[in-house]
Amino acid sequence: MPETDSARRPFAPRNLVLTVVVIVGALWVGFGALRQPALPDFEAAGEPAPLPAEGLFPSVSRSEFEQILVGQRGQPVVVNVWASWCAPCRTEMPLLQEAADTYAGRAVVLGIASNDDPQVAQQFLTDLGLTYPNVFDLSGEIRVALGLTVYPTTYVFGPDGAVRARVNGGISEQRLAGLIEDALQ
Amino acid sequence: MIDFGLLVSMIVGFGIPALVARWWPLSSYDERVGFLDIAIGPAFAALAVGRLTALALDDPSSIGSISDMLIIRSGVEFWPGVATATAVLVAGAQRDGIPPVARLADLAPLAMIGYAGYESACVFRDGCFGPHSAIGLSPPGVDATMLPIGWFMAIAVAAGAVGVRRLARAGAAPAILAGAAAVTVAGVRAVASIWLPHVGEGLTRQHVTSIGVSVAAAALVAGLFLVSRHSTIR
Repeated sequence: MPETDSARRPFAPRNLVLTVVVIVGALWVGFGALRQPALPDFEAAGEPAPLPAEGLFPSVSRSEFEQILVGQRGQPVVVNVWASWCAPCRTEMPLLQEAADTYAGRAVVLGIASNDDPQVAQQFLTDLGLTYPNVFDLSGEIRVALGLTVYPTTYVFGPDGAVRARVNGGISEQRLAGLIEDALQ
Repeated sequence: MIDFGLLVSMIVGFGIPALVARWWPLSSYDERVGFLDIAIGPAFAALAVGRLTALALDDPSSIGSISDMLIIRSGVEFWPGVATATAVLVAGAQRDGIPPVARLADLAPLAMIGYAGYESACVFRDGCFGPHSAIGLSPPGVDATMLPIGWFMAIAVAAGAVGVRRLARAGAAPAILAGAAAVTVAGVRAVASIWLPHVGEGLTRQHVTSIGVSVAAAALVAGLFLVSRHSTIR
């Protein structure tokens, strides 16, 4: 069987056009992926409350969560919503611990377990050896207020209490450090 | 959740060298074989091993769960991946009866172009964060403008690819070409890591491994160069 022209020449016009179409398509998909997820219409209010003490894992309502956020005004707060059944959460939580240690006194990392079993979530924290503050969203109203669509999701609140950024899915070290450093400026 | 940024980067990383191969034909392969035919196998082997290495280091409990291994976005260890791709290419060269180093040297410039393409797509991933600068990009959620360090990496590696290609045309030994490519990529990654934001004190794993590879490859190239000069003089 005779070979076709394109078989003899790997970069015949047909293959070239195909390659260009693939690259343009990838760029188009990529620009779509670049769009930042919408920030939630959420602003914490109420009397300031402290972070839970180390080793505690309290169940909190939405208003109690808001009070904790109000209590941290003046410094950036990284809020990470997670669940023990979520593998990407497990991957990124040691990074969040490192961030909590690195930025201690300048920024706060606060974990929120949601859509989970409290005992399983507590065991999950123990197994990973995490010491940064975590609370449990027993009723699910915190994740609704934050407009959660995927686990994990990380929100960065500025020193003024406003939501500055939202990262759906796992967060990279570069992105986490960049967001915290920028919020500290 | 699909990592579209990584997907786009991979497509660009394969697409650009496939185009460049039109002007930089490979001499150690049959002319009917296209760049994608050559690159896909080693690249996917590299991805698999690099991914497994990253999981083994960061989240060993995920190994064994296909969905976790595919979905989690915890990255791919670069140098174990490169070593794997190299091993696959060496095996292929031996099968074809071609000196492995000659084949690595033949592919090195296009592989560098592919890596440059991957880095040029950093804007779709989180790889464009650099130091704060008056010019640059403002990533989502960041008020300040940051220097797109990934684009500088892409330019540096692409320039290195042109240099390696010129060395090849000038008749440099294949081992020196392959070594020069490794020095360039490792050096660029090592230098760029200085400005990439990271959490915690000290050097990142990427930074340490890139420094190690660049030093080892530079020593290898220098040694080969000295040996070749000595042989010529004698």
